[in-house]
Amino acid sequence: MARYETIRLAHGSGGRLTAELVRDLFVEAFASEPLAALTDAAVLENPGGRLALTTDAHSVTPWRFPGGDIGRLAVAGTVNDLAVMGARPHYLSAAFLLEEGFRLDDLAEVAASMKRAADEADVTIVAGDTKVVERGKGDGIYIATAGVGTVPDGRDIGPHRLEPGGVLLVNGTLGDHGIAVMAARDGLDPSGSLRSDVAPLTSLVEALLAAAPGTRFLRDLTRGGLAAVANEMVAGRPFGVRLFDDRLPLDPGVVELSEMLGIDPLLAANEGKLLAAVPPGEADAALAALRGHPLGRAAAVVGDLLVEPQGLALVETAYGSRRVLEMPIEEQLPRIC
Amino acid sequence: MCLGIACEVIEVEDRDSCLLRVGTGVQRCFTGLVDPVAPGDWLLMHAGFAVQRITPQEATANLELIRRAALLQEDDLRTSDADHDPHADPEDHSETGPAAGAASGDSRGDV
Amino acid sequence: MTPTDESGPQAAGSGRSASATRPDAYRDPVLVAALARRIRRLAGDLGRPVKLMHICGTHEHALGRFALRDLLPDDVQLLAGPGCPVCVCDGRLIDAAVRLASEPGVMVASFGDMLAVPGTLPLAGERPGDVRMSLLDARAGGGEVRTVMSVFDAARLAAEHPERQVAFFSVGFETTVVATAALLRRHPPENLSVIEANYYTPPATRLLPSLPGFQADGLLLPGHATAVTGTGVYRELPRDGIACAVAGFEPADMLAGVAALLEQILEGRPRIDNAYGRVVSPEGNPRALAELAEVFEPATRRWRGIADIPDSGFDLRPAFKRHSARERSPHAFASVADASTEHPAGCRCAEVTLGARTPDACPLFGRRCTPDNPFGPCMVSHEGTCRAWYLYGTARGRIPVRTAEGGTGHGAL
Repeated sequence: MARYETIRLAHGSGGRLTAELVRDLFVEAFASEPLAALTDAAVLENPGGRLALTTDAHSVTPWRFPGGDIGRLAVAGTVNDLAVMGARPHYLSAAFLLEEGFRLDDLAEVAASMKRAADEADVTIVAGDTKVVERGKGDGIYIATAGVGTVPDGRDIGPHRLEPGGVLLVNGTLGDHGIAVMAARDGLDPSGSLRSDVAPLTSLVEALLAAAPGTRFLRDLTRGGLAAVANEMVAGRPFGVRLFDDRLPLDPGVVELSEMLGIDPLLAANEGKLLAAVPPGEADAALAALRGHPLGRAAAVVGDLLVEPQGLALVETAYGSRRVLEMPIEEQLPRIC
Repeated sequence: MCLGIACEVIEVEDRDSCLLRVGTGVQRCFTGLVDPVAPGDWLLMHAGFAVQRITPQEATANLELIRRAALLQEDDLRTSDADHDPHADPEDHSETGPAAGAASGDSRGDV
Repeated sequence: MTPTDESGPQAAGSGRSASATRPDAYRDPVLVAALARRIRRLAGDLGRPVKLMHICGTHEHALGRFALRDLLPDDVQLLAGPGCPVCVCDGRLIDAAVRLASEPGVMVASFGDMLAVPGTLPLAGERPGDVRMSLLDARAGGGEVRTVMSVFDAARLAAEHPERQVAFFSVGFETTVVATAALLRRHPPENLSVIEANYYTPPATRLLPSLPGFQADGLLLPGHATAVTGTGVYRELPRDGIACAVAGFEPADMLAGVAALLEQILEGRPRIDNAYGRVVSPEGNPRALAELAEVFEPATRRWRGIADIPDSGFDLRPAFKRHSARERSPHAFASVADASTEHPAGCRCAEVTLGARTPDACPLFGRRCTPDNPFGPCMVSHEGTCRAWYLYGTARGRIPVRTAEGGTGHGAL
């Protein structure tokens, strides 16, 4: 391994170089027994309960951005998909599609970052795969993950439980990831003050569900931001979502840069934020639980579910006026004048 | 016709360039079209350059003019308090907005 | 939206504690409510429906984002007039940018807002219907197109890429063109050229009252354009009986502008009021205007789908002509489009731009023309009226709500 600085096609061919890469880089970084066994599949203990399974593919340019990297993104994204179902995540797999020429020390950095995120989320990376594509046929690195978790008996979280009167909360500032990545990509944040919020939310969700067991619905806010989730929640349903403009938590740096770019933070991606719908009687407890957790210090009640208008997500300003919050439809282009 | 934001100068680089605080970050701004700036000055920035300086005196005068236009009294300002919650459940059940609100007299939001 | 500190979201400022230089003071709900009340009283005193118009895409955005029309009485209508430099940009100039982008050795630097706007060159096969090429299409076809936030970014690109010709697509109104002038006066890189696509609005605005169907009694003047030009450029409008008020872009700024217009109309004394004194003075920015005059001269420009308007654009003067992309690459600027073919068939952007038609009065709006499948520039551009109306649901008017407890409406209304 010390002979090569970059990924070669041979690293994906299944031969000696592949074996060295898997053993000396991935197994070394992930420090997981099932992985170290290097069998064709991992045979695992089943903690019991209903199974939850999710899969995700990750491509982000640049692969390293302020606040994180594609590795952390891959682990956090997969874990969060499970957590918002009320599942306790246990096991992850990771398949890497590497472009010939990708630096090995960058790959080691990604792997180390994944291990850190996995530890934060209390999950193990138990299976993996590596393929290499020719230079020019990939974007450096893609990661595809799958995650398995179990849902404890008695938990029933999902869109079927949404009803008018529900109180909506988020665990912190909105649009951080999308704005930070866009700024990094375009060189608009020379001071590097904007950071992605990418984080696994497992323990935050457990704290929330412990304090507010009547929680009806959870969704992690990813691409399309809060706007996408709000619209998905109400599409074809007999209720609407109202968000309070002056209660939405926003980082001042994100606000300014989004005004400059002309991109609404409500439409920008998040990677460490969720939306929760709880019964009105549990709103205070839910808020306290979120704020009591390191990943929820800026949590806030941001809205509610309405009887009318149905099928619509709207924003209510501090002046009492209302505008529609449309489903994000395409790539956000920075504006000018 | 154009997006402009009001920002504070944090550092002067040369006659034609300064650094502005934009939220928690920093942006470079061309200052060749305004009088020489100093840290602490406020500028209106558009498309990477300073269009005008915003002086405290002019800003105060502007705000005063707007308040007078609103016929805003000191009393009105005093009753604006931390308890003012524009989103609290309404006592008036008007569905048709300001016109009805005006006709019916004091709606709750008519602070 | 209100920035958050560590301890949780801030309540909207009361205005007393917020400095007058900061936007927060002009978002104060108490101030906004008082202005809304004053507007209701003025409209009540006037006793008849009144139409007002603004001419700035950023004003339309502020109206949409804060749903400010909800706060106006029903008989005060605020129309969107020509305020989008992207929407009026001659399609042939976009064609030139597209052609330049596809030339080897040439990089087009453009504001992001222009990238998706179609020109007049047909793009066959990609998507159904009458599709024209945009800079995004040029890039997808292998052309070199870079997004920049300013002309200074474009100059930096040129300095970093001496092996390329960098053509800056200089779009925007009078507010933006002064930056291009300032840059060209300060030893720009030789490999930087400028596609002269800036527009000057006062000649177009002065034509508005003569258009059939024009009914506005008052005009809200654009706060940042007048910061550059001063207010005198609009002096003919009050002489024609049109009330005028310069307004900034925060909620209180816009409502103060509306209140000023209603007062003028009530008094029967049209004039130019300035409700944005912290940024705008009657003389504007003399230094910017002097540099502009040194570098550019007035020129006739085609307002897309509308007309050729004299003195409504800027051509580089002879001393700076060597930086004109048209001079360097005249072949890229040849075109056959005439005004009637500038928009795809059925597009009503021209009428919407002039404020002669609201977006919801266009049969394509929200149906065949949406932001992800736009027909014309009004739906593509962030400054476009149709896009703002679509995104903010402006066409719905005031949205009544019913909560689970049986409450309706909202306290502040």
